[in-house]
Amino acid sequence: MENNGSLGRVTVQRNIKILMKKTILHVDINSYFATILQQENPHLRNKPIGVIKDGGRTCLIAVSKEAKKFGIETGSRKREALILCPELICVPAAFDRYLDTTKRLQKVFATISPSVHIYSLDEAFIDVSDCRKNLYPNIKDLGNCIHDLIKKELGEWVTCNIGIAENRLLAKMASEVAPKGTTLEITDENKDALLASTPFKDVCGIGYALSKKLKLFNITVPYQIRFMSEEELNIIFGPFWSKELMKIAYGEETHLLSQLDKKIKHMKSVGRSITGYHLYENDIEIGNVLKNLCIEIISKVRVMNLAGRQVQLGLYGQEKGWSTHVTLRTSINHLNDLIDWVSKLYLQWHDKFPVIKFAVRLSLLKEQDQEELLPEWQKQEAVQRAFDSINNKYGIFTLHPAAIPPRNELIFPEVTGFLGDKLYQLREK
Amino acid sequence: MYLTIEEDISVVGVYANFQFIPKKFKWKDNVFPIKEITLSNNTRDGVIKKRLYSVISRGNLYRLEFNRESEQWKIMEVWVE
Repeated sequence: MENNGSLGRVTVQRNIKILMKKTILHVDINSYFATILQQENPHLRNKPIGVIKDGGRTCLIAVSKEAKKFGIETGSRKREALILCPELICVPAAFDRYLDTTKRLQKVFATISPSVHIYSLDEAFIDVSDCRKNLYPNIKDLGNCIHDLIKKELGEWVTCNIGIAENRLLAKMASEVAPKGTTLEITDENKDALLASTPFKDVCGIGYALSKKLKLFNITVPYQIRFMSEEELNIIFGPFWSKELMKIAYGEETHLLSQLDKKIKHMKSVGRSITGYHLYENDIEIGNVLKNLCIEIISKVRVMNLAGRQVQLGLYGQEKGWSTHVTLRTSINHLNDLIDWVSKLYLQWHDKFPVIKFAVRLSLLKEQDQEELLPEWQKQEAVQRAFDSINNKYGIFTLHPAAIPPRNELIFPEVTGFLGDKLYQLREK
Repeated sequence: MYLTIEEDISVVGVYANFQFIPKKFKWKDNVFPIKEITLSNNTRDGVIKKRLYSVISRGNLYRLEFNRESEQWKIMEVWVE
């Protein structure tokens, strides 16, 4: 009797464990930027293509699966890529189309489960834990259904990888290693095999520097970490990463991914960086580019009704870099104020060098819940509101400070693959 | 490469499933039947909403733009090998 009781308890516990086990899907569109351009243009299909930001640019921000076969990677220089593959076709990106396509994908995913997290422009996590039992008893069928839904929505050429697992870490790893256009489910049976065969570059959260450090100790796959003691890991990687690496070794969700459950009320900072078409040495030209970036930042910050207290400026040359910041007593969200503070920071730059990359950021953002009473502030706010209403109606840069780059060199807002500003881009309008 | 054109055109199409589907367009007195819409997207410039269509006609790819504010059609670009 006693034995039966304990067996019964074990069965109940197992059933509870099965019921509590989550089912997460990670959907990753294959070579997103390039695939969308190939979907749009049949002349580009089955051909190696490199996506550049704009005409005249030399950095490949994405490459097609056909180009990857030649060893061309994202971030390669066009000249180097053409040596590897002389038939490579370089096509300018279509950023507004990518964002709209992501929004359409978001709608498709919302028909599958109410719990969808758009992780980047081409990736999403779908939690079907609550609806799996009744709606998706065969999870692989759901995978196939998603492949079909995406093709129906975006076109026959668009394929994706789907990883299915009990948490986001394993689901993402599964979609990284799955053959292109397929679904891979991770279960208790194949979990260890996945952890013992997936290189760290395919593990979410492991950056280049950490994977290089791990390689120094001959650790190339997560499973190997299980053979190290916590003390050893602590000494080599520090208290945070020793715990995180141990979680990864056993396929548990990391701190980074568990943060996705947190509801973020608003963006913490808004920044914009740009690599110029040429090296800039002239103070006026540099100032104009910085003003251009300030316009975009303030426009985003004001749309979200935020104001920031920290201004950061970064200037980067071919070999040198310089950055600084200032933390203010009060928050700002007027273009005049941001330009003033960026100009003040710029004056601190003495060891000058030709600049190729510019970065401005407004951080420590908080909701602009009350207006200041100072008459000067009120005046600026009135001007800024007029400025906003014109630009919101007729497009950014319709009204702008006199000194910004010429129209053909203006830097327009664009989305990044990482979609760091997703709270802004995917906000409800 | 894409060759920029940016010229006004006339478009004929049908409404189906709450959507407008362009069927042919007239550019420089020539009528181009649309064989396939390979991609369509909504974008906006300020409050001006636009719909972009990439279409195949006579084996060539054209990028068409419909300005939903002014209700004007433009041929924006054509792909040339």
